[in-house]
Amino acid sequence: MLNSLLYRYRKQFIKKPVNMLLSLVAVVFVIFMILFPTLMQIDSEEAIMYDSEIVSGLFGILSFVCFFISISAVTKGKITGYSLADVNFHFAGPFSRKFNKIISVIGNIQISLVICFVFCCQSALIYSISGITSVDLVVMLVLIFMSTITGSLLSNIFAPVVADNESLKRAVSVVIYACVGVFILFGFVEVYKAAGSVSSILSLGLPTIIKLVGNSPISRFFPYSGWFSSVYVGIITHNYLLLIISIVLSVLGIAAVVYFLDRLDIEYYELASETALKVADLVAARKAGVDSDTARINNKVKVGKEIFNRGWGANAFMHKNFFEYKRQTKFFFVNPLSVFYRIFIFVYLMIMSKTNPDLVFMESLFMNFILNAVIYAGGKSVLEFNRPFFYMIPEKAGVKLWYCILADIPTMIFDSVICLISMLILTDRNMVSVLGWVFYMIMFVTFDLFCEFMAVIIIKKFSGLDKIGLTIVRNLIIYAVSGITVLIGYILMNAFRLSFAWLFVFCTIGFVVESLILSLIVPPLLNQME
Amino acid sequence: MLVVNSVTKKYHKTVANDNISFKVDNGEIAILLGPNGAGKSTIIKSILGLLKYEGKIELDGLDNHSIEAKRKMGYVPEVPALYDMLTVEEHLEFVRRAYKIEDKGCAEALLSRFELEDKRKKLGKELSKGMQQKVSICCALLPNPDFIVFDEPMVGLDPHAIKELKGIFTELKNQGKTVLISTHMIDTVEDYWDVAYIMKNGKIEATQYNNKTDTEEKSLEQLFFEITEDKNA
Repeated sequence: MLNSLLYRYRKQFIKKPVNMLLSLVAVVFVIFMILFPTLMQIDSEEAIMYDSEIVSGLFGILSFVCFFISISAVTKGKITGYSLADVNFHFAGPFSRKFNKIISVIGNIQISLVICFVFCCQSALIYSISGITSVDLVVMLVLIFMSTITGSLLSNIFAPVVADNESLKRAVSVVIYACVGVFILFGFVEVYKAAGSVSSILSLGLPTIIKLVGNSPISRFFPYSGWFSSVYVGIITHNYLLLIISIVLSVLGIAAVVYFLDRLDIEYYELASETALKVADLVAARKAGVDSDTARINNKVKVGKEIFNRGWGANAFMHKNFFEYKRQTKFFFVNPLSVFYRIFIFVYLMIMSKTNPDLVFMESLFMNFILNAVIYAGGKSVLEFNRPFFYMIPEKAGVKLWYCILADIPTMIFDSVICLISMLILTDRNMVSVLGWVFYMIMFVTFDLFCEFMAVIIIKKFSGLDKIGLTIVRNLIIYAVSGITVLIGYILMNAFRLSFAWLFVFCTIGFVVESLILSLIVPPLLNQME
Repeated sequence: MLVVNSVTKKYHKTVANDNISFKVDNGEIAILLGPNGAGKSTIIKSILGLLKYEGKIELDGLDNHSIEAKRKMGYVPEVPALYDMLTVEEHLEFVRRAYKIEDKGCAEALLSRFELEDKRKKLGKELSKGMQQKVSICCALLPNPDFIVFDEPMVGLDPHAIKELKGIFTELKNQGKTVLISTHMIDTVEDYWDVAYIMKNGKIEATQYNNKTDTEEKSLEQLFFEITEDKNA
């Protein structure tokens, strides 16, 4: 059984050379980021003091988040991690049920890998606030895996039990979200006690908040995530009572998972097959260009008396995109995903502004670049180029392309205004002149345009890649080109000893030039493909 | 021999299979006929151990959920789903390893028989629906199973493959294998079946034996339409 499974995984993996290369780059990067604290400690003057309470707090929070993400799948009453081919070959084939559960776990490990990668990207920041060691980082990666896998297994064990019972499914959802609420509440109480008032909480700074929330009693003894993290916390803090208790609880917890895996087989295959079929239908629909990037939102929107009656020929694309935005948010210039990301950045930077205000300006710039690339390089307009409808409309490719891009310009302008407002709130507005801030807005609009053009080229040139590979290649190329643009702007600014506003001016010019060049490349490319 | 005994399968309040019992002997080809929604796929999935049900299903005296029973089974699904990133020959190699088949020649013979030799290096995702169906059939036949289930096997196949498949049905029968075919295309099964179970609303409404000497008996097609078009039923 294992022989055939390993054969399949090996053969599937070697068919994706780009993914292999990217995995290798990611592994090298992760290793480097793990070694970062060790490298920093070589120079004793630069070394940061080790704070075991912040490290243990981080362990508690991270472990909880991973466990929660993976176990929350139970609230949907679905078993994930299987394809329809798995159903046909594995479920109907000579594989035992226990063995088939391994496939599901392997499928869910991808979540752990993403979390590990994102976490390692932050190792420099984590080191700067806690003095974390490389050994701690390795243990933390193991902890992420353990929490995610346990959560996934528990989710797959209990999903079939609640799948057919709506009231039970709701009850389980309530319990799970109540646990999150209790975790946050306990954390808040600890933070509030330390701060003395709500208004002073932010002034505690991020490290203290992590320390207090992550070391709260509920965090230490939260089922599974708390037990796992407490084992290592017991070691680094030399708290042997905590160590023994957490080892005992972890062992008992794992034994319970193994027991349930063995006993609870209620409708297991049935539910897994059902989910696999739904996923296969979605993939088929995507290939046929039936879905949209906002299909889930659209499912819940009532059209009511709305009438879509604008646009003619290629122009119809623009009005269709306006119409979809309007349906979701009531405004044709508001992209809900973008608003969500802005809120996320704002909250993050608000906490950071109290911890390390000097970094906020640069971090804000950096995060807005990263997320704008995600929004516009994978947005509604770019997705048009993956669908047959675009090519069926009897208009010139260049005209269709521009109408698609035009539909996003109001959204880009609105986003830039939001970016500007958040910068004015969180940073020193006198750092840059009024004209500089105006160019800050224009810079993001031109960057968004650049992302869309670049994404279309990458979609066409790398059409052989799968979705994940395409996303990674797309983002890497966009980050590389835009990074060089910003770097050139920075060098020019320093060379001529100009103010920060000039960085925005240079970047704007750079993105405009790049967009113009790309806008000449894309239409012939689309014509060829047609 | 396949024995299905009092199988009932419910989805919430909908009864997909209502107390179904039938058997298929060794060397016999049984067909499950019925309109869409009659419960054919449900009983097939139950036989394969993919669903939970009330009742009992045995294959040569073995519980259908057991690994031993599954080793004896072959399955051609209604929707041919292959692994996107495995080639045709890698699918067969995967099945060979899964069923622990020592002989590598069987895979070659099947590829040749279904005219898949030139497609052996093609990935699952690069194949058309019909080609995928051919690969599914090869994968199901490779372990030389004692009992084989075909769920709508003719859908998407070209005339040559249909002819080849019909030949395989007869070969399997002559080798003493148990064959169960689910279909709603009566004209494709007219000539080689032994017993037909006509299903409607989750029940077996009629059983017909292929007795070619009995000229007075209704044809399968007549019986099928008589049952499925009965407004009062």
